Amino acid sequence: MASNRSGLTEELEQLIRQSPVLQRAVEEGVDLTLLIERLSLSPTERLIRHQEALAVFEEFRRAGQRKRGEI
Amino acid sequence: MVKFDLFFKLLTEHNVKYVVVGGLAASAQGSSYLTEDIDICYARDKENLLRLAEALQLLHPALRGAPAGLPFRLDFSTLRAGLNFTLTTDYGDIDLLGEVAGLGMYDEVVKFSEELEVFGVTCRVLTLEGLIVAKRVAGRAKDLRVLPELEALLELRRSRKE
Repeated sequence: MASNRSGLTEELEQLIRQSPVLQRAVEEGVDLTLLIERLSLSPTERLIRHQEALAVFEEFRRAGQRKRGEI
Repeated sequence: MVKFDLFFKLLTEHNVKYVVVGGLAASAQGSSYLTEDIDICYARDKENLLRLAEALQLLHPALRGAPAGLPFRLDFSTLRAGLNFTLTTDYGDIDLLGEVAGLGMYDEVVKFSEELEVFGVTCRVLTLEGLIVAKRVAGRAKDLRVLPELEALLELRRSRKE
């Protein structure tokens, strides 16, 4: 699907133009492309990604603690 | 490390009545926010408290933030005497909620939930509509922060159905 310079597809830009809810979300910094991508996944796939992301966060947290001599 | 898959399989094996709420429900519904704990709203009838206690005892639960060594046993009596519990367990941090602000107790919360297939088991999960109501009522900064995203998800989902 083609995207413009803002990285949004024409379809998504049109949706945003038509929806005050989506306009507010964009103003609040919500990444709609991320949401659309997540909506394309099954609930299990979403939770697996969540769990994997937490593991990465945990790894970085421990790296910071090791660097500071906390563990 | 949190083990969502094992936790939900355990509750299913023990026939526990619960609804996944909070950040994990939001994630299952498409939110990009990450949360480290598992929040569930549980039914408080006697049979369910017995089943929940039996399941959770296998995970060596302790009260989160309590001094090390503080005696704690999560059994039927403990669950009956309390309402909300914040626990650390072998499968990660788990919050047991007897009531969800803005929605009510389990019998009301379940009306705002839907069945989702996750990790091969069927779980009841709070809907986007239910999450939005609960977050609005909770009204803390961390709740209000996720509202624009939840509302956008609902809008995107509706636009796909049109």
